[in-house]
Amino acid sequence: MKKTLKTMAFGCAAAICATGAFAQDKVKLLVWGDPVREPFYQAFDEARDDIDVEFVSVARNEMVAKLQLALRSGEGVPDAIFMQDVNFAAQLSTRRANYLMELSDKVDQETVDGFYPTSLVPCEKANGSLICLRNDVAHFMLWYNAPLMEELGLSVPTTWEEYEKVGAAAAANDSGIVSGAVAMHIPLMNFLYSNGCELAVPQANNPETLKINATSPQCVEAAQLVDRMLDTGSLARVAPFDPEFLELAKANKLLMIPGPTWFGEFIIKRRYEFADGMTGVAMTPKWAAQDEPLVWSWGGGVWGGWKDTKHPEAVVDLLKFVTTDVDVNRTAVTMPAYQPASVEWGTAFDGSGYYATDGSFDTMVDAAAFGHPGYASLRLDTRASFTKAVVNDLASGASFESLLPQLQEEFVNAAQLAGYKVITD
Amino acid sequence: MPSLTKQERDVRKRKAARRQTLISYILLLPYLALMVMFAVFPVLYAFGLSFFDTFENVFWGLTNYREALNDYRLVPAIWNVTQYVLVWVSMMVIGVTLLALLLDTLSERPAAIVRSIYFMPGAIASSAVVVLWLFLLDPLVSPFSFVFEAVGWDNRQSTISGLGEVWIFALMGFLGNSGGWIVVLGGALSGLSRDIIEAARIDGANPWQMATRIKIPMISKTITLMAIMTLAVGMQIFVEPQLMSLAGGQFDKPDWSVTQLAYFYAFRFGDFGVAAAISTLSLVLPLIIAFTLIFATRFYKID
Amino acid sequence: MNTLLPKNKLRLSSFVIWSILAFFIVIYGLPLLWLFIAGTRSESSLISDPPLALGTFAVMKETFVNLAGYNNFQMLTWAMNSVIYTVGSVTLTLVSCIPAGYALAMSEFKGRKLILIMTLVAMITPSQAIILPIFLEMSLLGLTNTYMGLILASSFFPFGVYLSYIYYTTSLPKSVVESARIDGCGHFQCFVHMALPLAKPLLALVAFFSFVNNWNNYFLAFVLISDDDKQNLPVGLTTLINSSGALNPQAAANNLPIGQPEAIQAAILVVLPIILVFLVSQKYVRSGLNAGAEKG
Repeated sequence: MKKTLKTMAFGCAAAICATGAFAQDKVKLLVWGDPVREPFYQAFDEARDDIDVEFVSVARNEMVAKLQLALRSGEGVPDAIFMQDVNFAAQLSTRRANYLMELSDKVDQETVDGFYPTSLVPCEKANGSLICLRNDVAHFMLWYNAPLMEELGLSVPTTWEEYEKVGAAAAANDSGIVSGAVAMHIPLMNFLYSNGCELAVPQANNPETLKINATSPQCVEAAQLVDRMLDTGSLARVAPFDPEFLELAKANKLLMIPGPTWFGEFIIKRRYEFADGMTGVAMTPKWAAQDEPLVWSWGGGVWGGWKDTKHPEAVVDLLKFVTTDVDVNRTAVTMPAYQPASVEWGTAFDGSGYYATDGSFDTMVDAAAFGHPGYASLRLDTRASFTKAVVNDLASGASFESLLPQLQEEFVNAAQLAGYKVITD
Repeated sequence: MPSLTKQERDVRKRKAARRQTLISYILLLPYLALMVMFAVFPVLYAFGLSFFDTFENVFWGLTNYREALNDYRLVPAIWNVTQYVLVWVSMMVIGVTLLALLLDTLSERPAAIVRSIYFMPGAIASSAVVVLWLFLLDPLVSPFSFVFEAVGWDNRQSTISGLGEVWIFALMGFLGNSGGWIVVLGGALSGLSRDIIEAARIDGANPWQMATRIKIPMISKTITLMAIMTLAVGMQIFVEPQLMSLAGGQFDKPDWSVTQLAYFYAFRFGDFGVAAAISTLSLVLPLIIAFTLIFATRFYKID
Repeated sequence: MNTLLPKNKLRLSSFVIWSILAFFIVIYGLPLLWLFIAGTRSESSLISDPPLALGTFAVMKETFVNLAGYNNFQMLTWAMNSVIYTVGSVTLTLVSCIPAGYALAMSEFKGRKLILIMTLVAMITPSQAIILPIFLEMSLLGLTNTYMGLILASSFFPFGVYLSYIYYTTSLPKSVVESARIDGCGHFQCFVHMALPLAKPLLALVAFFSFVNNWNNYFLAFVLISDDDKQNLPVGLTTLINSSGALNPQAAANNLPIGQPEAIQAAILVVLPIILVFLVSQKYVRSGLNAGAEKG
């Protein structure tokens, strides 16, 4: 017994001599993310013998607070994090919460260019430097119920004005057929931003200045469209995930709905329970006066590293791996933001046979080109502000247009509180 | 011990007193240590921090207070909390007193069973209570859906905006806390002198008079204690609004209460100075209440 | 009972009393009843069947398997942590509160008034207001993210001292202690031999309130503990729901099998121990409160 142990110990020592480096040289990285991202980290851990990844699951709402706590106590600060909200990037690179590592000189230009257009805007700091890498793109598409569209003899709208007409036609005669659900922040924002309405949009020359004008003609026009569609019953005064709306969708009463790239897999398939071959994917509509659509986004996580990590190279390798590795991203739950990595994902998306339209993935790729350049990372919580100022009142029957002034006020206040300079025109 | 002089006796007495003081403090030691760690020090620390830029440790006087008081969310938050506390405390005082008095008219067996049922929801607190309520407020799944439908609320959003956060949080608080206090008041009521009650009955007092003229005055001290404890807890409301976002961003209430604002400054902005200023300010009211109770009323006898 | 009242009047008043009580039985009872029944139902049954429809054992089991599958049954880790935190804090609370209440009730000494005043002030100032400085203090002491830190911080329980103080002033007359002392019983011995044995209902009372507080501890645990394997159940419950989007499909761009039924079962897991404690301890709590309230 003793002998065996000795031999083993000897063998081990020989191995150390042979390879030069061993266990004690292994780089240890502490990483945070949501459970969905654990396999990404795991894959990196497996791909690299010299790196050990220790994963901690942190919920979205708790991410910023927990990081602040960790930074403050100096203990358990993660070397890398996955941020479920693009705004976290801005919130974690302030004077008091200076967490994120600058990546500009660490990630080569070729890699940066591989990301979908405008998808890295949330990762750019005021001085233009890069502080994170985008995980997935989540721009709006138009999802529709293809058999129902055909049955009603309607065609998929390409402008918002058509969208209104098609919606009204479908909802006519108390059919109960709806074309969207809007008692929620981002579905409403989508109408405003797509029309060039500026709500906390960083100025190109000075990102510390936000333009906020919720009562501009573009905003009013979009809000009026929503109000008209609420009146005709073609938009539901609920959130797209409210059980009540799920019932409608399951009862074949949902004709179409603007939703981000992840809507197909996670909402339409799972919650609305559309059958195979029923879901069509179309480009998000443009406004009649526009030459091309302006596409807002809903979500899309970002990855970042700790600026004071002991292992900056390992962290950068990790960030690059999780965003660009083809194998890992093939089975990602959402559309990868790194174009080359998204191709195989797209093949699987189209190959699933779930979607009614040919080349659904290509449509999503095309739409990415029209991403709104104002989809940036902000220190203020736009969702919370929007909800507070608009959603509750809208849900209880107010018109969207009538709420724009209080939306303006709330956004200006919130932006100033977060330290932004605000201009209104 | 007749041989001792008066002086000697005094010395002994003093020695005994000193010994008693020493032993008292030994008995109090664990509690006092905890009090210093988790009440005295944090309060002083917060007070000190509130005058500093906690990032660079620079003294900057009242800047944090100015920032806190200029926050556009402060006044609405104070207003929210005020309404909530008023509603909740009234609910507790009226509801708990009423139910405790009604239970007091029953015989022991049924009273105990009903009391247990009232007591049970107290088991659900903090995050679980919010989770449960997010279901209760959703007409599609709620056991109270027949009520909501009657009023015309057909989804969670409309229920929440229909009831309003003030009433929702007050109801949450009532359901969770009233049962315990019903037990407490029940205890106080059953402790009342049976002679007085019997005498009143013989004098022809009806149940209503009995309750309002005899029982309520006799348990008024316990009712006051309940009101004060409820008020104190209510002013610091945090978990309920903070966790509304579990149901999604559209229910998020990150700046509903004053405590949330302090939390927001500390953990969103990393600005512990302003957070400390808000904490310090929000301590003023409980302190005033406590000192009023001690020095201006006979509620808390310390002699 | 009410022999002096005419019979029909008695019936009417007891009818009114019982209808009010019954109304509140529904209000209090229904949510819990619903919660426990809902733990047996599937997502679609929750939405389409009547609120109190029973589910099946198979569904309940499947839900539980899903829940157990979340991060290798992390719920269990959280439950264990909750037990550790709660047992630790309740013990420390008892050790600190009972002797303190006794000393304050039974003897005169310098500083007693001040301590009593501070106890009331601390009782009226819930810890939420000072959680941030507590966090900073604990991080200075290196106690953040440790079991010890959270146990210590949640052991400070002025309400417990108040209860013991009231209890001893009302149920243990000073004269008894005085005479015992003349019989040669030292202050400390008095506590051990007379006051402690007397304190059973008090122990139950303080332990009960402290248990409820600690088992439900959310804010303090959230702030002091960052490692998710050291979290307690209330914080774990929100982590589970937040990360799975069980109640919020917007965050649900994931494949976790955690939906509403799983969230409900998780909530039941948080609530169940307390309900058991409530059922078992109610008698003691009542007798403890009665003993304290009799002359108070």
